Parts: sequence; structure tokens; C-alpha cells
Amino acid sequence: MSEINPRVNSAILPRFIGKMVRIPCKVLTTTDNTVTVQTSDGGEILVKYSGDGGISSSYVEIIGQVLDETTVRKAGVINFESELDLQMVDRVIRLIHDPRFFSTVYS
Amino acid sequence: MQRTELSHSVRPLTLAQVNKAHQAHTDAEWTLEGNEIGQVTIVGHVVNITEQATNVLYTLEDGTGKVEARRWKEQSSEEDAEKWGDIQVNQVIRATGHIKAFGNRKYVNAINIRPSEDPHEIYFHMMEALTVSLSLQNGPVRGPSGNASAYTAQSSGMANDDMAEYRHLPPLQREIIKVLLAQPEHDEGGVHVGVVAKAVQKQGGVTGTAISEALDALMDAGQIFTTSDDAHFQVSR
Repeated sequence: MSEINPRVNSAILPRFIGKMVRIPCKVLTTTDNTVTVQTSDGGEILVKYSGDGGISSSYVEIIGQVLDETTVRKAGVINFESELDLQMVDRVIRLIHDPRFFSTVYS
Repeated sequence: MQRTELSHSVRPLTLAQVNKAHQAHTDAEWTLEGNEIGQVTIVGHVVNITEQATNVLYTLEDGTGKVEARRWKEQSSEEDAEKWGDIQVNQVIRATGHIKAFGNRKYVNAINIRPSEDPHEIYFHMMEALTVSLSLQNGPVRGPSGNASAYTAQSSGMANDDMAEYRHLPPLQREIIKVLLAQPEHDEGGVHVGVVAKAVQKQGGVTGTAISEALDALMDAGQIFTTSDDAHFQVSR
């Protein structure tokens, strides 16, 4: 189902290799065609993109396809105007992926 | 066609849940897992905006699914731009309205759409949707002190059928009845007015006079009676 692109942290991301995910994160370093971000559980992911990244804030949500356990190809980005409480975000991410709740939140 | 109180409620849903909702036939109520849905409130990322002759469609994604929120256009295009112009692609918005089907497509006919400015809002919304769904499934949440949470105020009213007959009473009188009913049943001596006063005053700002008057009113109405002496009360059952 291409409509589903779950929010993940670095621990959960490997379950979605080949699929689209959303990663709420903090931007750490930027190069011409990659960005290294810190996920809500403190892990680091490499985000690859071409052209103008469109990343203008330090807290963003990266939407992309999972290439491997620590790499994602960017398809879109939401730039947040204010700081995101990544600790709170991580708790929510863990909750929605909990088998007890996954089928209520998702389909 | 009978509609329950739920038809006047606003239910927070994830987009996957909106897509799971179903309608027995046109004009029937929408339900999700057996519960009727009134209005819904959704929060999603605008991935596309399609402008049509009379309405505008916002394609929303929230990670769980995809839903279109639809709104009618204003009379003039200036009015339209002024009122709705700040909603753009790649923004997160909150929309509130009714689920409607048109052919085999489902929409949320949005009465209200606003940008979601706080990045935490979508997380709050997911948790709210989950909490409400689980409360409807499993019953109200009980905290360690036995108090129901704010989200279960309605269902705890249904669970406590004891209090149903007292719903017409003013709040203080209702509170007193609740305290009397909460006391152990084998206490046939009735409940001392001091105990009632202490429990009721936890609500804050209740005077001794108000309590006296409420007790008198309840006695006049025959709801309570005195037992061992004038200071002990029992609910008439």
C-alpha cells in the first residue's frame, strides 16, 4: 500500500527496507547531495537526494525510501518552524509500532 | 432513523481509520468498529491541492493513509484567497468535518481547515485518536486513584448507571449522592455529614451553608433520609 509511510526511528527503520517512511529528525551535517540526520532515538541516518534538497530548518520530517538500515533516499521534506521534542516523538513512534496498537492506528 | 449522541461528537481519527470507516447505505451513519461517527477531525500533510469549479481538494497523508479533504469555494476568488490562501502544499493542516462518499470515493467535507503550526500537533492527534479508539473498545481508563480521565467523561456516565437517575440534579446535590453511594453498603448507620462535607469540598469552593442547603433539598425531594441521627444520611433506594 503506497499510502502508508510510517514514522520511524533508527531502530524501526530497518523493518521497512524498500518502503517509504517518514523520519522526524534533527539535521546534523549537510553536503551537496546528502544530509546526515539524528533520529528521535538518537541514531544517525544518511539521507541522499539530488538537486536542491529543500531542507531549510534544523528540525524536519524526511519522507523517503529506505535503501538500507542507515540510508534513505529523500522524496520530500517538511521543514518545521520550531524545535521538535524528539524525546516525545520517540515515545509516540514506539507506541504506534507496538503490536497492541499498530492495527488501530494503521489499517 | 435514530442517531445516538455520538452523531454530535467530534472524533479524532488517523487517515487509515477514516478509510476503514463504513456506511451501511447512503444516508446511514458512518461507523468504525461498530461505533457511530459524527464529525471527524484529522491532521495531515498536504501532498496535493486540486482546484475544481466549485470546490478545492486537499490530498492529505499522515503516514497511515491518504484522504481527501474537500471544501467549497467562496463566492469570489478574492474572498477565497483571503480566507484559505495560507493553506499550501507541503504544509500540515487540521481539518474538521463529516465523512462523505461520492460514488466510490470517500472525502472529508471540511467545515474548518487550519494550518497546524506546532510540529507536535500531529503527534498529539495520533495519541488522541488511539486513546479514544481504545477507550471505546476497552472501556474507560482508570487512573491509580480510580478517577476516570478527561476523555472518558462521557462513557463513565454510561458505565455508572447508578447516577443516571440523578442527572437532573444540580451538581452539588449530585456530588453528595455520589459520595453517599460510594460508602460501603454494610454501613447501615448512614454516612456522617462530616464525611460528606470533606469529600465534596475536594471540588473546591463549596461552603458549609451550600452543603446544608443541598442536603435539605435532597431530603425534601425524598432522595436521602437521616438514619441514626440528624447528622447521618443514606440514599433512598
